[in-house]
Amino acid sequence: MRARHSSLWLGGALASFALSAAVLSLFWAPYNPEMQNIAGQLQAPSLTHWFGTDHLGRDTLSMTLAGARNSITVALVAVMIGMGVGVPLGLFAAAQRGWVDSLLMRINDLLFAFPALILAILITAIFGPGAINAIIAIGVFNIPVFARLTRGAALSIWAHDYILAARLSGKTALRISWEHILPNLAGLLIVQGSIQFAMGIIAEAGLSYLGLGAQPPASSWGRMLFDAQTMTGFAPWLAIFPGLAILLSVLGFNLLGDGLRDVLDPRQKGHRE
Amino acid sequence: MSLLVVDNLRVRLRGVPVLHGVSLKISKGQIYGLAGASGAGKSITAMSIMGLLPPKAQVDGTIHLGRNDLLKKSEKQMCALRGKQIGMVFQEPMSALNPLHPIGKQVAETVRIHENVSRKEAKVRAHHVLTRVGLPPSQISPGRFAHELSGGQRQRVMIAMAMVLKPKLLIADEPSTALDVTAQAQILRLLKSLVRKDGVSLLLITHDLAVMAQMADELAIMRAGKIIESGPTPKLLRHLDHEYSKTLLQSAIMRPLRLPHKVHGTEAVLEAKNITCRYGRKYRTNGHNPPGVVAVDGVSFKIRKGENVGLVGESGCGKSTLLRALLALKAPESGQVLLHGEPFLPNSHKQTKTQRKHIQMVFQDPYSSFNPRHKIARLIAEPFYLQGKISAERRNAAVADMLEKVGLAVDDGNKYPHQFSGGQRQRIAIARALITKPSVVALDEAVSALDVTMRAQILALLGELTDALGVSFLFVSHDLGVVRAICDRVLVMKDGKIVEEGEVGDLFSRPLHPYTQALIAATPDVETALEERELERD
Repeated sequence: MRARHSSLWLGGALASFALSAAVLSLFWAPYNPEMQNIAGQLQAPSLTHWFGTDHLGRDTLSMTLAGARNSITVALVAVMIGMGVGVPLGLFAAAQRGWVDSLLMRINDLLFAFPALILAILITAIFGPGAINAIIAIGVFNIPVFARLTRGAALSIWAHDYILAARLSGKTALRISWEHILPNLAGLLIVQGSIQFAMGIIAEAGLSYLGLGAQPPASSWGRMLFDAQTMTGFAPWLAIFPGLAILLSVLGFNLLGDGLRDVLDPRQKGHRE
Repeated sequence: MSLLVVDNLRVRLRGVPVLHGVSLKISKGQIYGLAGASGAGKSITAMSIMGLLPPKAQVDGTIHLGRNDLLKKSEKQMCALRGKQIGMVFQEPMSALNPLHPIGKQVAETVRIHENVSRKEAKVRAHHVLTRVGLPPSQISPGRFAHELSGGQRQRVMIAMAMVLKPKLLIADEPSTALDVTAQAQILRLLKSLVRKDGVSLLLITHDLAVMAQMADELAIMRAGKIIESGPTPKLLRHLDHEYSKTLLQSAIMRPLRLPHKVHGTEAVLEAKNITCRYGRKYRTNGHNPPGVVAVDGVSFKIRKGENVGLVGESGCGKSTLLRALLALKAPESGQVLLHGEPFLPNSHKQTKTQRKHIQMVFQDPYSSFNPRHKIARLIAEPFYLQGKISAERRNAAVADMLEKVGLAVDDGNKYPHQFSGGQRQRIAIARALITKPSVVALDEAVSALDVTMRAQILALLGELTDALGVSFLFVSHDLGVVRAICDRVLVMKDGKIVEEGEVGDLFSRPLHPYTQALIAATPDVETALEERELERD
């Protein structure tokens, strides 16, 4: 059993590790991540500074922990925006069909046509850099993902006889969507949510690497990578640790999504129970 | 001399025994029928002969085809035997045919896989066999694809693919169950004439004893992985020993379950006035409006209180479209539906919600009729939404009452749909349809997905309920036997029109329209089949 769900277990472990790092940073960090100490700059990893220090003498471990909090908050809120807007839109399009459906889906196509990161850069370029605008930007490109997924799955559920039975019970499309369609989509949305979460972490790192995300002195993984790039020759730990943090948390949430899909998708269970 | 000898065949799947020592002998040119309810082990027996059991199945016993011991063959050797020596026809031709290849090519491919012949010769053989199964290339192009054929034609292609290699044994697993009555009669006749002409042995598997009475020379009845009795068909059916076989036969003989009774008054509960429905009509700006397809063409009829009406016709005749209009799910193009004398219009009208409790529906597929996430009690109570606010106590009492009426336990309300069999689910669907005390319930092929014994039980239940509750059933079906068992009056529909209408007794004894006569003649019936065969012999 465990061997079959190995990606779920590995993904779950990595994801919860990232989450607990973010939660831990709220209460405790070895040092204040914003505290500069020029005298102790560019120290290699040691027992006092596990991940070393940067060119301003800040503790890299503390910054990585604070960066986890930043990344996860941005990704989480962005997924919530994507779901909160995309899912109702998808349900509405599936319930209405006809021209409403076509219009919504063509707008969706338009959003999809822009590469996600370019869209996010556009939004932050217009509204100015900052963590809040990064959240909105990433959230907006999540909307079409959820809208399209929801619509497709909802359409197939609308074809079932029990929906016809609900219509014969006089229930409106809104009520049917809420009572019958949405609960049957829950598994699918959780899976997609965790995959979009991973995408959100990458997008946030990308934006803050370009200076469009969280602004200093707030820590973020992308910003740390940007600062580290001129010093990788003599202080590789500055790039390695935030890089590893991004890699492992993205890998974790992706594996978690895949694992959940295997567990939740009845078609993969082999037999219908 | 026997062609196929199965001796003491035992099969275990995942450690669970499913066949307990099945033995049978099929001689050359014989039609051997294997009957039984679903789950009796009929298909497992066929799969064992074909060597198509799941890899982990444990098989004991022997299967001899001529001098070949099939259970000792390797997979590679079986591949050579399958098709060449043993052909197979499945129930669902749509999923057995490749949708991407033309039918002629698929038949020719079969030849080329097994025999070293040129493309050209394979094509000639394919065309020859397609002609034999009634799809002559001059009329039905071998360049057609599976989706361009009717169900009966698809099954003919399957038979062509099985027969093109001239196998010694043909296995047909429910070859006609998914088809309309007329197509079923044609397919059965075709199978019989082909095997007789070529001297092929046929192992015919079906749950329908009426089909067996027509077809099988030798008949075996299976139950729970065993053959409980067997013998020459007419003799066996006249003198069945086992109680179980007798119930199976009773279920196959569709006797009227209730005497035609007096209909309460003459008041029409549901009336269709000149209904016309059309599909695919598009209004284009260039003024060339394609007329679309008329699915329902000026249909009018009345259903009176407590009267059961059957609506009979083949698939594609417009039954389902008419039903959607009657249930106010789709507005007809013209005409009117009157429910208790008042116009009944699709959902957007305020009045519709108060009217809906008078008309409910039971669906064909018991697996898609319920939201898998809801418990039975909640599913049955769903139409209560129409009654406005009702206290939980009253609702629970009504659900419990309904569960008992349809023959389930009150505790079943706390279970989920997947815990029930197809027949039980149809009972649940009936409970849901009846909970608002409607005056009309439409049943769309409500028993055609069930096997014979289950079907007989559900029909008996419906018969009881209609008398007890004074509800009218509109029974939509392609199966005349079912309609005869439960209805007072029958409407026969063809190409969107009602071609004949009459009391059930009159219609069956003196059908006027040629189409009705053809339908009745095509319906398999145990008694007439046996009489015909006894005449043939004399």
